[in-house]
Amino acid sequence: MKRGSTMTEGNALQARQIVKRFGGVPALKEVNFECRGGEVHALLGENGAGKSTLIRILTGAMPPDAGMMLMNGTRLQFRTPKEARQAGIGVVYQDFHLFPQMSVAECVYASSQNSLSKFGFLSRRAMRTQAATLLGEFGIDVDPARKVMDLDAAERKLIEIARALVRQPKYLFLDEPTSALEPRETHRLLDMIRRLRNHGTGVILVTHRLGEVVEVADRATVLRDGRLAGTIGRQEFSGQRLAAMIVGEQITAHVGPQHDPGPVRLSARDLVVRTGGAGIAMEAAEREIVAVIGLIGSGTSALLDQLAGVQPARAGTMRLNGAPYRPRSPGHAQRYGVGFVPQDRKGKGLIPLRSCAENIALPSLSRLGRAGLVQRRGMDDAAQQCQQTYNIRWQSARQPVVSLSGGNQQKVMLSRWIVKNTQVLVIQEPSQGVDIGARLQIHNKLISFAEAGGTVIFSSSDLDEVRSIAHRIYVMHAGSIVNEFDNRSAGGVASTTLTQAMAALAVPDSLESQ
Amino acid sequence: MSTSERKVAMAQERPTRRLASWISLDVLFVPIILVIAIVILSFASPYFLTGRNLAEVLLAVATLGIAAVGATFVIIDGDLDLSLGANVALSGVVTAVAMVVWFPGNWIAGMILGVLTGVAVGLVNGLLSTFLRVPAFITTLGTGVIAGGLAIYMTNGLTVSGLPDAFQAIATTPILGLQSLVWFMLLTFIVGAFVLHRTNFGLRTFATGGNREAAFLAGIPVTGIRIGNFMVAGFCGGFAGMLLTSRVQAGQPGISTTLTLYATAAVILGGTSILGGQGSVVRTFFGILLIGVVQNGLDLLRVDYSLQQVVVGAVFVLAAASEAIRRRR
Repeated sequence: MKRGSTMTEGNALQARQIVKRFGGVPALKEVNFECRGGEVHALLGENGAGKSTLIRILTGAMPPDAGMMLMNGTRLQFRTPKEARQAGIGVVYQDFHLFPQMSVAECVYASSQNSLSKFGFLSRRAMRTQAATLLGEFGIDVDPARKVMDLDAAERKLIEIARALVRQPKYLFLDEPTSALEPRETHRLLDMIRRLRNHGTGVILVTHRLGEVVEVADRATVLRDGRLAGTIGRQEFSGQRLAAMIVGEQITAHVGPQHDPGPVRLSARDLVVRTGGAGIAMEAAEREIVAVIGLIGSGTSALLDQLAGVQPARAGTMRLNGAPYRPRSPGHAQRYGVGFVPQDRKGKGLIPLRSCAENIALPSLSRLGRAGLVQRRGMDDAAQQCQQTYNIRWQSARQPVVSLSGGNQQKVMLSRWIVKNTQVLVIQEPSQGVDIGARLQIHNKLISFAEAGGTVIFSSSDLDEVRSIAHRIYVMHAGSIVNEFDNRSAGGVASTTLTQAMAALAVPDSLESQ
Repeated sequence: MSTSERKVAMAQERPTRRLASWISLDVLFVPIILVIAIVILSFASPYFLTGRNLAEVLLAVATLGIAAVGATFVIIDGDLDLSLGANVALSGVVTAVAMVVWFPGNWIAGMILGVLTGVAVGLVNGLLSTFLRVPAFITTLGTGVIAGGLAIYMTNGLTVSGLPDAFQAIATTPILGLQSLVWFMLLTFIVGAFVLHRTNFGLRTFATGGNREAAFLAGIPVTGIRIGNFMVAGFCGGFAGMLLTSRVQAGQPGISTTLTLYATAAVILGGTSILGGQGSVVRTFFGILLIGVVQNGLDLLRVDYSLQQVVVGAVFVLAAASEAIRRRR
């Protein structure tokens, strides 16, 4: 057996030469992985690269076909996830697994083996004290008596992690813990990860956000097509380097939009997105990409909804190309040339079981059809064209859109508005749940859409994304626009500037008014 | 396209192939069951596989089939029409009353009024279900009771007789060995399939049923599409009611209490999803044939009528369960 230099480290969780096949298709090919105690180790790769399979094997959810696992030099063999837990391996999956009706304390201890009372009864008081201690230890500021359903996304994630921590795992897998979080909440979570590391826990962090990796990880292992693409240490980190390893070759640096915007296309005056919010004034020009950012509840999505006709405007006026613009519905907005891509792609964007071609053609049926009849040929041709320009990966334009990956689904959403010849694209979270390669492609296409004369207005919780494609950035808070940045000047807005602008908003209202 | 972009695309998830393979099996499921039922019954009863009996099967399900085409539309649209049976009764009664009482002898006016009654019921269903935002199964349950009540009120619960002979010929003229009523059913299925699968309206119907919110955000006039589908169902109900009146030569207020159930059962049995967004008129046709064949078989085997109900009910539950199982996979 090949022995790497890492063998000398006694205190580590190791996977050696792991092989896994699904029905003959190899998912992992002789993958080596090692996480030391007291280390934050990022596990990276595109969707389908084998990350999830590796996690499942290491956490006992499935056995490997070949290869072995070691903890501190001792061989591990799990038959069930429970055995992995008992061996000191914890995992927090991407989707929430908490019980909404329970209190935080109950949830944290719900499935733990710690006997909490002398007679085998659950003692609420003991549970709360213990939970409070545990939460305090990791700087989680959540009242253990609160109900889980009253918590926000970040708090839930922290509680989930706390739940895994009850068993004091030596190694903890976090599967995209920040995917549902806003920037400020992400900071809280990264702080907690650092604290865990200082306690001596080995943290394996799976994420698509390379900024987090650079910020918090000590080493990173990249998987590509089921193979090990490499493991690099902190000193070699850069977003560029990691992205290149993930995609498999050097990607050209992304420098943001190079062209200048034209005359104003869409403008809004005195819009009200929530009761009590000040009137919003904003504009977006031809050839311009405008970002609207803000914490959850700040009104960014309500603003975009109004611009796209999803919600009728409560007050104020909008103008498009100089003429009054009063959309009553998304369909009505389309007739003005405004298309909408909602954040919840699967829930609100696509008709999952219908074909890719149909999903693309949906708003353009009248134009593509003839006399009210569906023209499959025209639909397929339009889809084929989109497939080429957007590089969408499907076997046939007639396969159900649900069978595509997140990135390809998002490209289908964008194609819809290209086929419709839309002037203004309103997009919520353009690259959420999309892997790095597809994300870059989507960014490039948005830029070329703007370059060709289109207008893009998007909201995003990903500040890197905002900095890399927006000409102009509006910052919203409590239903009003509170700040505006020009991102065109050399180097654009510094990321620290944006982060600080966002952090300032996170101050509770009560403090602000003092 | 740069090489890196191409590479990225290559690395992305491969679409699941399993989906395609089970859909084709799913499509063939009911036809296979139908063939099996036919084979078993032809052994069980020598009379079953005679041309005369098969024509009988088609005739027995003809009005049901026409109504079921309408049910297919509303169900794919993501709604439900529980007033369908009562609509058939009311439209049939209006047809009869119109040509006997209101416009004596004018059977064309009767036919038109009968079908329009069905469309009107559909329109009311659509308006109530969309603008009041009440689930369709509640509104149509209510309108069904109203329509059924009206049908009985208009006739004092008695059948209306004395219809013109010319009108009787509409549904009972034999063409190529089958009664015209059967041809009307086949025509309804063909037109229904065309509208559902070949027109923009049909595609929008699938989109609305598949994901109403997404359809709305994609600019589809969801409210209009839903109302339109209720009206299609209403039309089918009215058409079925009018033809039924022609066939039995009387307006019958009390029929069709079970027709709603059977029509819905045929749609689900055929494999159209009760959750909307998936299905086809052809599937409903096979569902209808299966119901017709099973009932006819039970008749031939002299199974008690009450027991037949039990069998049909059981088949319905099994069909719904099989759909739930298919969905879970």
